[in-house]
Amino acid sequence: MSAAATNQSLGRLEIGVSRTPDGDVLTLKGQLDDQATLSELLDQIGTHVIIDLGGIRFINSVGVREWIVFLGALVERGTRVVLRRCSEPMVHQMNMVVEAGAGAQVESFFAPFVCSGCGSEQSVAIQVALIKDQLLARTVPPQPCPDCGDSMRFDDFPNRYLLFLE
Amino acid sequence: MRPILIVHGDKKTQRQVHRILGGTFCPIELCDTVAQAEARLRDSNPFLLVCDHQQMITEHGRTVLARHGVPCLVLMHDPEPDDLSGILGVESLSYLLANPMPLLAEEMSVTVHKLMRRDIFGLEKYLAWGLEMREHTVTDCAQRPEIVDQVAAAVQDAGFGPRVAAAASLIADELLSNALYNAPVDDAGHHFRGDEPRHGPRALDAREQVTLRYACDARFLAIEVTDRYGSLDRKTILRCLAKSTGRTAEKVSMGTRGAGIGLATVYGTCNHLVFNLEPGVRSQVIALVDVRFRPAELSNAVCSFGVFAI
Repeated sequence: MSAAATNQSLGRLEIGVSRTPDGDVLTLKGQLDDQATLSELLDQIGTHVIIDLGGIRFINSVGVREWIVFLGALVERGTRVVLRRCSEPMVHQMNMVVEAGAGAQVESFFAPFVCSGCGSEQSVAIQVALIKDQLLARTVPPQPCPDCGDSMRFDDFPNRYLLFLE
Repeated sequence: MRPILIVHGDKKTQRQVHRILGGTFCPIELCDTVAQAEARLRDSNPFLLVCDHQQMITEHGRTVLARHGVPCLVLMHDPEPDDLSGILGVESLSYLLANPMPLLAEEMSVTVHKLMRRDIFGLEKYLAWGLEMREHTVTDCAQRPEIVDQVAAAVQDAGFGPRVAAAASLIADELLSNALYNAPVDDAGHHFRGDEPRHGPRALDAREQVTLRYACDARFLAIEVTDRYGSLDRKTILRCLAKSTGRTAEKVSMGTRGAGIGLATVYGTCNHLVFNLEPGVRSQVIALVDVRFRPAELSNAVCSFGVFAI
C-alpha cells in the first residue's frame, strides 16, 4: 500500500513519488535526457528508495549523466537504492557506463526475447534473485510466448547484455 | 593500377576476401603475415591493406602500419566486445569489418569502391536500389525532438518493432545533437556551441543547418546526419568509439554540456558506423542497423566502422 503519492514532470520525463512501508518508490516514465534534472528530486527521497525504471523508453548520453549524478548523490549520502524493472534502454546504458548502476541493487530488469514459433518480440521482466546463478553464468532461461505459448529465446548476447550485473 | 594487399594467415579467408575484392578488378596481392607484407608495401605501393585483426594489433603490425601510412581495413572474425579496445588503440586504423564471413562481402566491396573512386558520401552506397528516402533539414534546434520522434514513428510503422525504433531514435538524437552543438567551429577551431544547453529553440543560419536522411532496404536501416562544418577528425572518432568498450569508470564528461559518450552510444546501438569527412566543409555520419538478422543470428557483438576522408 502506498501513500502520499506525488506526480510531477521534468521535460519529457514523468515522475511519481510514493511512500510505502518498504521505502520510497520513485517511478520514472518517459525520456531521460538533458531536461530530466533528477537531482531536483533528492530532497523528496528518504533513506531507502526503490526506483522503478520500467517506463524509461529513451535515455541519451546527457540523460545518462543526469542519472549518474542523481544516483551518485543518493549513494554518497547513504541512501539504500534498489533498481526495479530496469528497461532495456536503461540496461544498455548501464552496460556501457559503470556509474549508471554503481552502488545500487538491481532487483529486476527487462530483457529482449523472441518467439521461436511465431516470431513475436517481447520484453520480459527478469527477477534477479530467482535465477541469480544462471545470470552470473551468463545464461538466460527461455520464456513462454504470451502470443502462441511456444518457447521464447533470449534475443541478445548474454556476454554483452548481462554485463551490468557484475 | 595500385593493388590491394590482403594479409591473413588463413588461406580460406584469403580466398574469400580475394573473391570479394576481385570484383573491383584491382590487382590483388596475398600475404600470410605482416612480415611478408612489409616488402610488398614497399615494392607494390598498395592503395589499401586488408589485414586480420590478430596481426594488426601486434607490435610489429602497428609499427608496419604506422611506417607506411597505407589505409588499413581490419577484419575481425567472431569478435568479442573486449577485443575492440586493442583495435581502437591503433591510431592509423580507418576501417573495421567485424561481421563474420560471408556477411561482410557487401560492406567490404563498398568500402573499397569508395576509396577507389574517392566518392564517399551518401547512405545510398550501403542500400539496395530503389529505396524510399526520407529527409529533414533542421533549421532550428527546437526541431530535434520532433524529428527524432518522427524517425522512431516511421520505423515503428514500418514493422521493424520497438527495439529497432528505440535504436533509431537514440541514433538520430545523438547524431543530431553532435551536429548541432559539437560540429560548429570558428576560425580558431573553437567549438562555439559546445557550452549551450541541449534543448530549447535557436534558429540556425545556413551553415549551421543539419540534414538528416534515413532509408531502409531489406537488410539495413540507414540513418545519416550531415553538418556543414567538417570539424570531426579520425583521432577524435577513435577516442570516442573507444568509450564503448570495457566497463571502466569515468567515461562520462562531467564539466561540459555534452556528456562525451554520444558517438560511443551510437556505435553500441548500430551494426556499422560510417564517418565521411571533408575537413572544413562537411562531416557525415551514417549508422546502419541490421533489420534482416537478429543480434544472436549475426553471431557478432561488435560493430563495424569506417572513417573515410577526402
